[in-house]
Amino acid sequence: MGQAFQPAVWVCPEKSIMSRPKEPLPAKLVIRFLFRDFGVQVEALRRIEKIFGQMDYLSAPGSFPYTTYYDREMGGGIRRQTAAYLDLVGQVTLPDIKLRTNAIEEQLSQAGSRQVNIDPGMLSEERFVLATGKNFTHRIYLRDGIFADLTLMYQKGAYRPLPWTYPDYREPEFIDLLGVLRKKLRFQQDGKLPGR
Amino acid sequence: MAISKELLEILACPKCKGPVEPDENMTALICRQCRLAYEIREDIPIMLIDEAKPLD
Repeated sequence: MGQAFQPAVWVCPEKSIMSRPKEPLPAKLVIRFLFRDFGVQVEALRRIEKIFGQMDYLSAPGSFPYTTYYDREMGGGIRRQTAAYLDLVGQVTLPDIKLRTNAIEEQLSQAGSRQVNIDPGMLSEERFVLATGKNFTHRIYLRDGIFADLTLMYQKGAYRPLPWTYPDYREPEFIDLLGVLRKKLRFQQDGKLPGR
Repeated sequence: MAISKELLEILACPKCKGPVEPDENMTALICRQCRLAYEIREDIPIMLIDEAKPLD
């Protein structure tokens, strides 16, 4: 039989370095929309604002050339718009947000086809996470059928894509926008807006 | 880090959802339709209708 194990460092039980779980800071809600009919999109924006409060950023509608996946449902000429919302949200609410945006997609459907695709995500200082109902290897299950997709990580001064990040979330303009929103988020977490 | 001109050009007016353009000093984004100027403070565009200044 060998000698008894002798640890190199003894840890006093009263001074354990075990972490104490705590809620993270609230995040910024960022929602991206895909649509063909601008009238439907304006209605989607109105319904989203009614639930989540006023927008504090809105992009002009732009083209969406990355896939024809949505054409079958919405028709061709799909456009993309991005909005961010003033009121910060608790990170635990991501599944609830996704379920509510799913409901709006359904309300605005015509003859069973979606007229607007709504993708909510949360921006924190560390990362940007999308909510999805689809399971996949890199997605973490939250609850109520909703998964979290780690889409971008903040490293060395910018949000950076991962191997599975969708092409439209790699766009330089979107990454730039998230950088600006991150600055604003830090102000807001201190309970203020940038000063005059 | 200053905001890129390209980013400023893709933002929209939260009131009319129409285009905004940076002023010549890059200190505000102007909506010609609504006659509003959204200030840029500490490199952050403040795209809130309540905080916007009328152009006139």
